[in-house]
Amino acid sequence: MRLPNLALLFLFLGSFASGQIFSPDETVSRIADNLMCTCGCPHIIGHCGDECSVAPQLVHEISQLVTAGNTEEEVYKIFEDKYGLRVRAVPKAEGFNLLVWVMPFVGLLVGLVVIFFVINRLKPDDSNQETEKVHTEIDEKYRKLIDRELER
Amino acid sequence: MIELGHYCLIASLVVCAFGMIAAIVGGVQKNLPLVRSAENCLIANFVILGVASLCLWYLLLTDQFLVEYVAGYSATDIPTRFKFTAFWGGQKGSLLLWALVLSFFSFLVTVQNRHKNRDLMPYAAAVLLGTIGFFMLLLNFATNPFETLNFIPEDGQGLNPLLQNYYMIIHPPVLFLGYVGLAIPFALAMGALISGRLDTSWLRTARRWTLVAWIFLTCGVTLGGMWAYEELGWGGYWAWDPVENASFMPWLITTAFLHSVMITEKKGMLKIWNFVLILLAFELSIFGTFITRSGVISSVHSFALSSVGPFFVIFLALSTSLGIFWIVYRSKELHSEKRMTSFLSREASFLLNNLLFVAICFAIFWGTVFPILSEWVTGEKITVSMPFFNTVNLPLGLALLILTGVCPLIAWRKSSAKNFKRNFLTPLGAGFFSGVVAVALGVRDLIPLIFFSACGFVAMTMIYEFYKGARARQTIRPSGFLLALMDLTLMNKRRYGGFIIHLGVVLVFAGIIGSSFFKSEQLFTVATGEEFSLGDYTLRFVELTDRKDPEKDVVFAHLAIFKGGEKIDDLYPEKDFHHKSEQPMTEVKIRSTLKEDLYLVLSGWEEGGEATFHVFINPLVQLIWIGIGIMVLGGMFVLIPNKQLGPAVALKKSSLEVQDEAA
Repeated sequence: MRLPNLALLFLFLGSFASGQIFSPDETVSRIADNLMCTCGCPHIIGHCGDECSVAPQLVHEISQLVTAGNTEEEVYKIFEDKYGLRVRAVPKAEGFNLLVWVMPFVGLLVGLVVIFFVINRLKPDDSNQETEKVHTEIDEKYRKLIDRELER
Repeated sequence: MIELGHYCLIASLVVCAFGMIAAIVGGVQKNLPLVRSAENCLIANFVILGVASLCLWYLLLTDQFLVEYVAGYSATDIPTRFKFTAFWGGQKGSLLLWALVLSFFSFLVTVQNRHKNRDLMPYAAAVLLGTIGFFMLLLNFATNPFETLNFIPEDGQGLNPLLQNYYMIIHPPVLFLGYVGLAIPFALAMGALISGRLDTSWLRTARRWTLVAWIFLTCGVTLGGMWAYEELGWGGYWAWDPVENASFMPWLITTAFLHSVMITEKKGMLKIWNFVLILLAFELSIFGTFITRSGVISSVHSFALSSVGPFFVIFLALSTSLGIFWIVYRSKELHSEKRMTSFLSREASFLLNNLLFVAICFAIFWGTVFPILSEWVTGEKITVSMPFFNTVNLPLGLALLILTGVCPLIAWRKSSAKNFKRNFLTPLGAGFFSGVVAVALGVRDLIPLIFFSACGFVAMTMIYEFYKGARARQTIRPSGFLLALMDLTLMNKRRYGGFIIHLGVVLVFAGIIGSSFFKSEQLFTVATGEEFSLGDYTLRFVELTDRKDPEKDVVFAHLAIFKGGEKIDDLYPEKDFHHKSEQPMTEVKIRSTLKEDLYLVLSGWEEGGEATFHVFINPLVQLIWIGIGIMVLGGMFVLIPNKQLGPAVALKKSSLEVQDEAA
């Protein structure tokens, strides 16, 4: 069987899968899901395609750090120091970068306030209340009629 | 052919410039011949760009490597179908495709409105010609697909192997049909604003075009997801990549518009809001093309980096300013005709629905552009990826799902406590029952439980609406239940087509939750003949072998799949080594059932005969594709015209309409 030269890259993968099964524990998986692959792709480590030879190395690195007793936050910090801020899948919520988390909910809140005012502005004034009441009563009459028809 | 292509691009630019001036002058002076001339320019443009596109296809299919684009994206040894699709493999061809599709839609809208919407059509034509003109400026001066090299290479570089996939034959053009389709409602809206013809007649035309665009966007976004699922080999279908986000944002705004337009047509409310949504959807479609093609944000999709970015920024700024100016200018004429009665009304729930769509879109936009913003402010490069989008969109998505079920249950104008009790009891019961079933099936996490319950609630709401309607229909025209159901659905295609779409949405949500929360994956390194297990499946590694295809070398593994002790399938995951690419490509193999997908990746191998496999079990993925299929069918059903509909609003005929009739 002919193995193309590039396939040698994949020989590397096997070395991490010592024994039959390689199953990173939950902490390693969680950390890998919060760090970006450094191969140049826009994916987190856990989602970098299987062409990537870098992701398995990074998983191995995380695994070693966790085994050595580092906490999750310490692993992030070590990766940040080594690969730069970009390695975090989401920046730490501090300083200017806090805005990334805050703004979507501020936007939603502003929207809710706007809707509240729009509805209030669009609500009929008191002079129209009587007309509205009559309409509601008529609607209710029709609804009762429909209900009776449906019950037959 | 190269010269002909060049001339066509120049001719198209000239036609756009002339047509735009003719349309504006014709519209202002109410001069029908000038307006007709502008509309003919739109038709001529389609022919000219059609010829230009045929020239490029000819050059690609005949391997004319003197042309830089052909040398960059095609090669002698790639299959003919990929030479054909190389048309949209790079930036230059993609932009030509954009212009071609827009000119085709413009041609259709011109023919469709030859004798209607006369007042607004000149300005709509001007907007369309301006938009095509922008692309022609790019194609003539910044990124010409007919540009030649100083020498003729022996062979081309070939198409990116990632794009040599059957989904890539259809995904880009379908997505473009969606993007480009949004230019038509935008042009009609601008036409209505500029001409001051603000009755609902334009809205009806715009709504149908928006629905067409929505259907294409839905298909395009989904095909992209399917491509990612099969081609990228990480076991997922959506990675919140900037380009994926860019295609999803106009979809969200378009969906919001398709809801808000109902309030406008039924109640005469939210008129300004509709214009804002149409403007936003169009700008986001341009933004999507900008992101894909400018390379401003890192993405696997940014296959080409170029200098078109500044052009897009200028066009976005100009078109947004123009839109905002005219909305503000006409705002006094866009008052609501009716008033909102209560917070507990269907009108209010539609407003909330719109808010959620826009909030999700804003969150995605914010996360997509934040790295650029942060770099400007702090000087440091950062990443905003999947964890952010999942966290932010999870509660918003849940709220939207629940609202999908709540909206139809709330009465127009005002809901009473009695109305609430009567309408909500059955769907809420179904929601509770779905939760119990999920627990019985082993679901223990709170978030999936809430989602599955919400899915049950929404599904029952929709089914109950069909049931109630059919029963009511039976009382008016006695017939069998199924006949009454069919009669009812055909009589109000828009309402019940919408419910069909919502049933599809329920399946999509169930699929997303199932595949996100209950996915299992494991990496195995095994020797030939060895067996390994994941979930209910046992896999036997039979052999690893290779073959030579014309354009690539392939290494593939044979895996026998067993379930419950019985052999159920053979799968052959492979690694492709394209001759013209340094990057090996994963070809995953998937065994799909309604319950789950068994997803196999050949990750690597060793000289000794051992191979490493990445095995995923992705539950309920098929529900996503089926759900989206139902959504598309529902959308198509809504598009079927109702015969009994008459003209929207009979208004005094305009000068152009009188001239048109006389002509």
